[in-house]
Amino acid sequence: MNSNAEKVARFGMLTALALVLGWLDRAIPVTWFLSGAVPGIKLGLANTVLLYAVYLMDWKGCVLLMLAKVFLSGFMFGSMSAILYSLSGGVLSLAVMLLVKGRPRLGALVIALLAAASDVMLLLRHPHPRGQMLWCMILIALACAAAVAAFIVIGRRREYAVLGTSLAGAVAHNIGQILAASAMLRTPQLMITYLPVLVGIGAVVGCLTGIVAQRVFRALRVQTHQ
Amino acid sequence: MFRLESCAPARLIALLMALGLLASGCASHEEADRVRLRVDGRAWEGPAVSQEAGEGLRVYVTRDGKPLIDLPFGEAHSVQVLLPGGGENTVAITGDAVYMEHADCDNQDCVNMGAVTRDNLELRVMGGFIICLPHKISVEVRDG
Repeated sequence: MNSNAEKVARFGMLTALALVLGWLDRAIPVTWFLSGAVPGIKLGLANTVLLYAVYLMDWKGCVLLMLAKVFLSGFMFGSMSAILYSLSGGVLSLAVMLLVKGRPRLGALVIALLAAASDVMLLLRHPHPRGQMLWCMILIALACAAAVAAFIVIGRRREYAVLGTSLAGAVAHNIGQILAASAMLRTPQLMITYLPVLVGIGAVVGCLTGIVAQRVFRALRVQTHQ
Repeated sequence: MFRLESCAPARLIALLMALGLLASGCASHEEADRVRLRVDGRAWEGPAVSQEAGEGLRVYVTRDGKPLIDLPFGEAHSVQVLLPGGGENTVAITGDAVYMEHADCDNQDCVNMGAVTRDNLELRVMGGFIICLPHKISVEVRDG
């Protein structure tokens, strides 16, 4: 991170990676596996690039990378509205990741509490869950367990700090997107219906991408903790 | 220290953001035109909000927060929404189910969302909603 050339090269590489992974995100139909029950779910591989950037670059570089990713992939694959959703998710997730970077345990704990709260909220609204709702609740309960596990693991082994940041970033991205969607459609009820599910699924996906990111950092010999 | 002139990506981003603003300006200009509706194949000129609401489940079709039409859940209808900028969604109401029959958007999420029926209204992940984000159309089944 000393010379300017290294910075530019790193920026270019990460931008390219974000665009390629953005395409891959579109190519893997996660929604299809969930039989259309939960629309708009992606693996979020492109957002893991932001996670790398949070550790590899300073915050200004991260903001630039996020904007480059949102606008370039928006113009290549999506529409104007897709750019707005993506921008809202990107801004929120980046802000949260930069905040949580120094205290990943807190991030994991907050996500665990959020997942637990959304499961309880769903259970209050649907006292006898069946079908899609039952699967969703099981998924969110798993997410809560995963976040608690991440909290414990980060406490024991500092090199897993990435997990907490990844979890918080993924959930924040989902919250940002649903905020944008309900603002665009001007239907706040949509948020109440869909937010708990998105928080749970964000935690599951964030855990998976966090494990991948941890492996990548170990291979790159990047110091992710002080 | 962050200096704009030392940072080539900053200029690129500024250019992109300007382009984005321009595009969104064009998009909002086009919004001024009216959305056209065809119900059961005929052009619909009726009021956006019906007066007969009150009893039982109804299907509400809205675009961008503005109501377009609402129909009783129990009757069979096909509602085609034609957007001013080109773009079309067909909502099918069969009497015991509501689903997005066709949409010419790029992600087809609304078509894949499946049907809302009396039985799954409470148990669907999306509740009574069927959403087409690219076209900003929401279909909701709820009590009148």
